[in-house]
Amino acid sequence: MTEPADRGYSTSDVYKYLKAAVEMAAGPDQYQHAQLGELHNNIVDYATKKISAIRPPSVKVIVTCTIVQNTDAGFHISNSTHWDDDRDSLVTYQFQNKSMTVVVTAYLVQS
Amino acid sequence: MGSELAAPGYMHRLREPAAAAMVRDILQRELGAAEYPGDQAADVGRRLGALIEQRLAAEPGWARYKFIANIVLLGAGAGARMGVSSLWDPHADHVVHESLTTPRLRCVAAVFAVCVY
Repeated sequence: MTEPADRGYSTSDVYKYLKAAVEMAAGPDQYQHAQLGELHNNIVDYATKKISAIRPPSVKVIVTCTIVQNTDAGFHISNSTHWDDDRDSLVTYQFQNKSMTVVVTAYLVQS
Repeated sequence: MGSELAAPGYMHRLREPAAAAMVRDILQRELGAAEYPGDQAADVGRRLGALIEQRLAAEPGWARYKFIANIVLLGAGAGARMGVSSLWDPHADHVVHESLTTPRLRCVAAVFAVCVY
């Protein structure tokens, strides 16, 4: 992961917080749809709070979290951006256990 | 301090219903009654994302926005949950999401429009 030179934050740190958010919140291996809301909120709240502390005030942050049950049905997540490649960043972390896949993405956009 | 620090005025503010209609139109045109594209999912998702952000960026009056299109393609039968949290200006920034469901496919498109001051 190449480090942006002067954006005021480190994408390595953002990745570290995304990873920590998921690993802290991920629970038992069994997929339980009724508990996804709490799992999702824990991940997103933690990641947003940590990233907010390291970013300059002029950088806006968007954190998305997608949790998918592992079945024979496929899934795919894509991103497309119209922004400044030199000033904006996308950091993503993927976690998988026996029952689910969690993909959390942080977009940091210079305003 | 000048107007460049203010949120866009009425004529240059993104209108969420109009943006949602554009996204919906692209999903219906490109996916129609499709099935989950399997090995082509990456190409399909990438194409949808590019079409959406290019369409919105081309809209006159929305030049002050940066766009992020997040496309999720799901085959039938899997449980899923998506959500987002943002630290931005609620008066200037916007999110639009549309979904298309067929018997074999669900596609969710979330578009974030971030205003540049």
